[in-house]
Amino acid sequence: MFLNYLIKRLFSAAFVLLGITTLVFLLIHLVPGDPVEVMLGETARSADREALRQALGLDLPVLQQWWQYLMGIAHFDLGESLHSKRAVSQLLIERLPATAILSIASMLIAIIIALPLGIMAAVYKDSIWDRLAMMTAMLGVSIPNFVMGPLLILIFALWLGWFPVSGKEGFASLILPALTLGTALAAILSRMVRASMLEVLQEDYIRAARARGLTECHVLGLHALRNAALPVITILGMQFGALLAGAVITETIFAWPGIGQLMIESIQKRDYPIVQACVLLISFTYVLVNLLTDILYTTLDPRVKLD
Amino acid sequence: MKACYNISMFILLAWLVLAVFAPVLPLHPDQIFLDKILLSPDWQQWLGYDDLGRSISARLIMGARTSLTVAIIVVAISFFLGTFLGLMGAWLGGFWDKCLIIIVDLFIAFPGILLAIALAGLLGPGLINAVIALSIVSWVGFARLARVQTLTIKNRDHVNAAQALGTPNFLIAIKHILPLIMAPLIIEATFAFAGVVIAEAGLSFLGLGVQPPDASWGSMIRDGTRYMLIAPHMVLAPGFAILSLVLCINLLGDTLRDKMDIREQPTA
Repeated sequence: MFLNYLIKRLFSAAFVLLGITTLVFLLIHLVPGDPVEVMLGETARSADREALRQALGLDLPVLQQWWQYLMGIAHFDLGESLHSKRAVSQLLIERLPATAILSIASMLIAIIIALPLGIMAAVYKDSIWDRLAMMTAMLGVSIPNFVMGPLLILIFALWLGWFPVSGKEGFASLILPALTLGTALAAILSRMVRASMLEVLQEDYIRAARARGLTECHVLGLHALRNAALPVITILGMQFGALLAGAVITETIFAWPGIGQLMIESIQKRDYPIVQACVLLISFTYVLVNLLTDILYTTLDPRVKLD
Repeated sequence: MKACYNISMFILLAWLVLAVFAPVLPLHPDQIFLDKILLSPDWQQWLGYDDLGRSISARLIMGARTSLTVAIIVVAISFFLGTFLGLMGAWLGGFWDKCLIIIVDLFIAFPGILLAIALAGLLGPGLINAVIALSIVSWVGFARLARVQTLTIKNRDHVNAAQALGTPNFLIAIKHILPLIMAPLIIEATFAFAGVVIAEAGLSFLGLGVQPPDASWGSMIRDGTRYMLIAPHMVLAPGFAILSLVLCINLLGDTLRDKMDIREQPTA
């Protein structure tokens, strides 16, 4: 049963990955006019243009280009940067750790903020604490990271001087970007924790636990939170994509040397193979994280029906 | 809650009125005062001047115009396209429905605003390309919602009756299905509106949306970050403008959702 589900799920994920790759491949054909001309500028010699056209394979029929692109990806060959002439895969590997650290830190911050906020709101439902917590969450969803980031820089870096303004030097420089990126996730998560806790707190087993005279702390921590965690984990997986996309903007604000910053730099330099590779990497990660969440979900909760 | 709703409605309408009447107001968003460069807010000019000596309040109002125009166009396009495709998919079923599901799944597999950034980047900077990029990304939510809602309704008795009476398909869709699936779609549109306002400002912040000298809240923040220590008002003014607009739309959406008593849709 589980094996069947796993195979089915893996198959559909593979299909989506193929679709993503095809769309990303087609992106270069969206460049208005001749992409080679856009990349090299109008003053380029025609010999250079032809050389680049050949290097990118743009002189071949589209179907053949697509096949070459797929084969390249299967061999981790994502082409060459037009400016630095270095392998794109090499550049991605250099930038990957910074983005990974940033996203994991943001996720941790989001969880640390959201859990107490959501639990408090659920336990003291309709009280002033609940209202305050949900108002904070609303504010968190509504503030875009390119507003949050400069605001945090202004207060904590420029006025108070507690953290560096930008760059990646040690632990202190991680705090502000991670907080910026984690805010929206924390807000969404705390609403989900509240909703999920409210549902669980009405269950019979909670009443049974209370009737047995367990402390409130015990009831909430062991019985309620554990069962409320499942939908929260799903949301966490689903929101991971938004987190990665948000990293593109956050990294630009804080000059954080990750994949997102590389992507924006490459857009400005019209280094399209890198742009394609960044989109591909981020989307692939997102699909794989979703796949993992789904599988985790079914193994964590025996009540989940597989179909 | 009622007060909250009224205040957000008021702020929203205020932005809308300012945006609509911006061209007839005595504003000079591109006029440069060389003696007022980076001037802090005072009693004459509430929001001060930017690094080129342009009035920030005038640019803020023009920015509202940009932001709301883009949001209205993108949401309108996505609403009609998405609803149409979703309804068609669910109504026709079979092969066409499968096609729709595959396309929708594919677009959802791209996280958040990422595809819009890539599309806007490759199409080239500019407002029209930003609108195209955002529309390509936003229609999917409407299509998915319209499809699911239509599926729950298409076998109801009144639809069967209309079919038995020989009503043409498009009339059934417009008169018997669309009114019943409208409520969740309108709520989706509210949140999509907030999303597009943020996304447009985000693209402009990255330099991919509105091009200078035109004003957008996103590009104003981008310009302001360079002068944050000496002129924080350059970032604070557009920042709080975006926050106020988005917060009000979200509060409105929440109120609408409670009113129409729709179960919370899982957000992708």
